[in-house]
Amino acid sequence: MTEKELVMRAKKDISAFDQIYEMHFQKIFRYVLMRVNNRDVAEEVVSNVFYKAMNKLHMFRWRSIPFSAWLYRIAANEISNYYRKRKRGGVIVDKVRVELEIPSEEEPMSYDFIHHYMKQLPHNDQDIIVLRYFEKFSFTQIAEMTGKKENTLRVNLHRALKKLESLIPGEVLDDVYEKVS
Amino acid sequence: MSMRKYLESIKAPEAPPGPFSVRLKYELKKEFFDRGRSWFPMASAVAAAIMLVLLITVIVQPDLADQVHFAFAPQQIEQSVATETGNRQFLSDEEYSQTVARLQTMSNDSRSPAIHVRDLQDLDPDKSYLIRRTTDDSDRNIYFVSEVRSRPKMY
Repeated sequence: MTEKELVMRAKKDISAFDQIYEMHFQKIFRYVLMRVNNRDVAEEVVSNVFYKAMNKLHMFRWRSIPFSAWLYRIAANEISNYYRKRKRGGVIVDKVRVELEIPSEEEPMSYDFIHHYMKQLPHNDQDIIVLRYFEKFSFTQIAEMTGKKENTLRVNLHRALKKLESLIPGEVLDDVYEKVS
Repeated sequence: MSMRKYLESIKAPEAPPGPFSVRLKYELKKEFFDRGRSWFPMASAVAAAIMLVLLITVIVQPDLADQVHFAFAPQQIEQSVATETGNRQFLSDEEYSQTVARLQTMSNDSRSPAIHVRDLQDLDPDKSYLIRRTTDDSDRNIYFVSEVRSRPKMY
């Protein structure tokens, strides 16, 4: 059975829903976890993603984007919602927490290390870096998810990487590049 | 080394499906699939209850069924009375008594006394009549006309 048939059946058929869920849960969870870097928050966001997806499943049409891209789009919106709410409700706490967090210089290859700097970027920049380098999506796939043109995405990614580079102190960056090479 | 190569060399965090995956799937199934199933027996029970109430009403209050019937199709019988004049035969006293006896088993409305119509002129156009139709042994239509003096009592 094709993914299209499964998605159409998942609206009413519990076994089709099972298969769709198993196919996409882990990818969506990993993507959200990379964006929020907190398991509890990721669980909350992923719950919202799947509830919204199931509620809107009847509206999904196989026209321009595949189902997985549609799910990623919902996930990206939910992550933005989460940060928006957090900004509204807990700015002071977050600032203190960010200042206290010091990345381990001994593990420059860890995701935690780079996430410390990535989270200071705007959400769109974080998103494109995660989708391109950690989820390993092509520009075509990212364009389907975000609804942006490929050329625009290439330019955005280039700028996001420059910003990320500028956020990492020079000596730390040199040290990191040295360890990696 | 460029930032691109550095990012490509970082291993993405693992997110093994833990208990959360199972819990969320269970909650989603409960929310989106069990809901429909729980409505079906409830809807069936409600429909059955309505049917039972209607059945009891028809048995206990046949007048009510009668009123409902005439509310929906009063003209049908009135037209029949008017159009069947060619074959019209008025009942003899004996036939009238038999018909009244038969109809009394169908109705207990004593406040609408039967009129033995010997001529349609006997019917006063300013009065209200309840017309019932029954058939005799020869399958002939017999119209039973009752004068309605007051609204039937609702039991």
